[in-house]
Amino acid sequence: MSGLSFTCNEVGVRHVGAQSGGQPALRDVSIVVEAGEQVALIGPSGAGKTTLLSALSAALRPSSGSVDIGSKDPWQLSGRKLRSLRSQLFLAPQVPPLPPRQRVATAVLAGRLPGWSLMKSFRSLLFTADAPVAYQALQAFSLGEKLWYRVDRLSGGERQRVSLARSMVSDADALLIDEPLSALDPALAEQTLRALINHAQQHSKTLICSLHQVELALDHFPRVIGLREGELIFDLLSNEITPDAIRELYFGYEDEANATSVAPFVSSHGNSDEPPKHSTRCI
Amino acid sequence: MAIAIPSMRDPAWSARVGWLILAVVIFYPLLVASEFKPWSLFDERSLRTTGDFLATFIPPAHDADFLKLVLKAAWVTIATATVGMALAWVAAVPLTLLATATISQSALGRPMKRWSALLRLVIRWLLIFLRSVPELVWALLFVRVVGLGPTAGVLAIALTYTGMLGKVYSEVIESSNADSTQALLRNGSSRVNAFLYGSLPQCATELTSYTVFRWECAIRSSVIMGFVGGGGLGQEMDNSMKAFAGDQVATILLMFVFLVALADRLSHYLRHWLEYSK
Amino acid sequence: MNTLADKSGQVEIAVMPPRPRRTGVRWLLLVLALLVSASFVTLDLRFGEFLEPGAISKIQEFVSGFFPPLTEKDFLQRLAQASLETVAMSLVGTALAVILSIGLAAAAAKTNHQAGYQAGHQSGARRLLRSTTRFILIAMRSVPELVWASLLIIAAGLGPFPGTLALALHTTGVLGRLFADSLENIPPAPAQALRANGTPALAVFAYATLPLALPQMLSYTLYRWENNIRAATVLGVVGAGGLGQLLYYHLSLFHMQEASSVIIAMLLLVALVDAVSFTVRRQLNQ
Repeated sequence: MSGLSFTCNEVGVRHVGAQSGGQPALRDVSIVVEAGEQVALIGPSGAGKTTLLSALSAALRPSSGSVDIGSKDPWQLSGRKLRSLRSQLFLAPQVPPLPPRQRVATAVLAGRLPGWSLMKSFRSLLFTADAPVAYQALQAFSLGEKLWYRVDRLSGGERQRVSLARSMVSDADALLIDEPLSALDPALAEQTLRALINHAQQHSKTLICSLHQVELALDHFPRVIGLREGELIFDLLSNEITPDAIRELYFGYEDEANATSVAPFVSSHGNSDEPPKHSTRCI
Repeated sequence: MAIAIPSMRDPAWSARVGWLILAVVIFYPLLVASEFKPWSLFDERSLRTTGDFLATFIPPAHDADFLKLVLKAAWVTIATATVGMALAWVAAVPLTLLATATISQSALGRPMKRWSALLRLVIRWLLIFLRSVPELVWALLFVRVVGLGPTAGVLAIALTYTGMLGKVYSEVIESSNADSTQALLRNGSSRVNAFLYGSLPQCATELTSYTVFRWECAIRSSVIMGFVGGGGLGQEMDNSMKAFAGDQVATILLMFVFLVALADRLSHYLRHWLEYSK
Repeated sequence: MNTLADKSGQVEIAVMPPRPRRTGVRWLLLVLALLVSASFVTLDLRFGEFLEPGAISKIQEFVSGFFPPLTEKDFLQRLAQASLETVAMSLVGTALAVILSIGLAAAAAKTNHQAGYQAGHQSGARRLLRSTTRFILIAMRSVPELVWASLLIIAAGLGPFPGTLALALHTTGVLGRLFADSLENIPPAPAQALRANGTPALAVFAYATLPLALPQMLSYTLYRWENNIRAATVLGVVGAGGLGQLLYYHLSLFHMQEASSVIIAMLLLVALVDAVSFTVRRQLNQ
C-alpha cells in the first residue's frame, strides 16, 4: 500500500442549508497532503473541519477551486471510476454510522465491502466472513470481546471505536477521520489515537484526522493544520506551533481550547453516551 | 485482563441455520398444499389461453349500450356501499352508546349492575362476531335468503360494517378524555346527553374521518359482492369473464380502478378537510 | 357599554357575536343526504320480504338449518385439508409478495442523498424507473385479491395456485409502497458512509439500508399476513381453492350444516393467525 495524496486548490464550499447564513463553510483553502502523511486538523467549532474532510473524500463537491485525490479530479470521473476512487479512501463520520441492530462484527467488516464481490457480501450476512480480521481490528481498541454484540448494546464511546475499527479493516490507502475521540475519556482517547496512528504508519496510509484535543494533536501528529471560520489559519509542523498561535486560533472560543487540554468531554457537538434515537422499533 | 477470546464463529450461526432449516421444512408442504407450480403458467396451452384472452382486452369494449350498462353497474356498486354504510351507521350508533363504559352511570364509581355488565358483554361479542365473518360469506348467505341482487350485498356490508364501526367508535370514545362526560353524568344528565355534550365534541372529527374511510372500503367491498351475486360491477365482471369477453372485462376493470381511485381521492380530501376546518 | 345598554334590546343583539356559519358542513350534509336517498330509491331493495307474514318463521328455519355444525369424520378431514390449503395460500402469497416488494420498493424509493453527494449521477433514468415502479405498484394494489384471482384462473386453472398468485400480486402492490416508505424514512447516515467509501450500491442496501428498515418491514409483513388469511378464506368462491371453495360448494347445494362447520373453521383460522402474529410481533419488539 502506498498511501494517497491530496491537493486542495483554493477550495471553497458553500453549505446548501440555511444553517450558516450564506457564509461559505470553506473559503479558498489550499493544502497539499503527501501520500503516507499524518495530519491533524484543529480549530474551534464551526471552523470547517468536517466540511474539509468531506471535500477531501469526494463526498461533497466544492463550489469553487478543485480537489485532486491521487492527482485525479473526482468530479471529472464517470460514476464507476468515482466509486473505485472512493474505495481507495475511507471517510469516518463523527457520529458512528452504524445500524443499531447489526452485529459489531458485521458493522466492522462493512469496511471491506468495496473490495468484496457481491456474492461474498451477501454470504457474509449469513455466515460472517473474515471474523478474525474484525476481531484484530477491534482488539486494537480493546473491544475484542464485543465482537458478537449488537451495536445498540454498546455505549457511545464503544460505538465510536467500532467505527474506527471499520476504518482499519478497509483496504483504503487514506483514512479521513472526523473527531474520533469526541465520546472518549482522556485515557482511552490517547490509547485510541495511538492505535490509529500506528495502524496508518505500519501500512503507510495517509491519515487526516480532525481533533478537538489540541494537546493530543500536537503530541501525536507531525503536522497540524489550523482552521477557523472556514479559513486556513496555519499549516505547520507541530513543533513549530507556539502557544500564541493556538491562542489566536481559539480567540473567542477559549473555553473550547482550555477544555480540550483538561477534559476533552465538553465538545459541544460530541456524542453523549446515550444510544442514538434512531427509530428502529416497529410501529 | 483475563478476557475470554470470543469464538470466531458467530454464536447465532447455529440458531440461524436452524431457523433456515425450519423455514424450509415448513414451507415445503405449504408450497405443495398451495399447488405452487409457476412453470404451469408457461406451458404452451396455458400461454395460448392467456394470450388469446389478453389479446381481446384491446380495445376495451366501448359501444354505447355496454358503456351504459357499466355506468349503471357502477352506480349500483356505489349505492350498495352507501346504503350498506347508512344501515351500518344506524345500527352501530345505539350499540356503541350501550357498549361504551365511559358514558354510563357505572363509570361514576358505583358498582356496575350485573345486567348492564352482561348487556355490554353481549353487545361486544355480537360486534366481534359480525365483523369476524367475512363480508363475502355474509353475502353468500343472504343470496340464499333474498336471492340474487343488491339486497344481499347491502345486508352483508351493513352487518360487517356494524361490527367494525361499533368497535372503533367505542374505542375512540373511550380513549377521549372522560372528565367532561362524567361531570355531566354526575349532574344528572342522561347517557345520550352526556355523550352529545361531553364526548362527541372531542372526537367528532375522528369519528367522521373513520366513517368516511370505511365508506371508501365499502365501495371496494361492494365490487367484490358482485362476484357472488350481489349486483353491480362485480357481477358484470363475473358475467363477462364467464363469456370470455376480454374487451368487456377490460372496460369493467378500468371503470373499477377509476371508481376505487375516485373514492380514495374523495375520502382523502374529505378527511383532510375535516382535519383542518375545525 | 352604558350608552348601549340604555338603548333598545336590538343593539344588544348586535353586540352578541354572530353565529359561526358552517356552510361547508351544511353542504356536506346535503350532499350526503342526497347520496343516501338516491341510493335507497334506485336500488332494487327487497326488504319488504322481511315484513311479510311468515318471514320470521322462514328465517328461523334458515338459521336453524345451520345447527348443529357437521362433525362427521370424513368431512372434518376435508375441512382440515381445505384449512391447510388456506393457510398455505396466505403464507406463500405473503412470502412471494415480500420478495417481489423488496426489489420494487428499492426501485420506487427516493434515495436520501446529501446535497451534492452523488454529483449528477442521479439521472433521469433513475427518476423514470421510480415513477414507473410507483405506477405499477398502484395498479397492483387497486385490483382486489378476488378480482386478481378470477383473472388468474384463466391462466393458471382452478385451485389454490391462482389464489396464491392473486394474494401475492395485490400484496406486492401494498407492501411495495409501504416498504418504499420505510426505506425513505430511515436515517441516511449509515448508507451515505458506506457509499462514500466506494461500496457498491447493492452491498450498501444489504449492509446499511435493509438492517435499518427491517423491523418496520417485518411489522408491515405481519399486518399483511393477517389481512391475507382473511382474503384467502374467501378467494375460493371464484374457484381459487381453500375454505372458500368448500363453502361455496356446500352452500350451492344447500348443505347448511357443512357450511356452518366451514364458517366456524374460517373464524378459528383467522383467530389463530392473529394470535401467532401477535406473539411474533411481541418477540420482535423485545
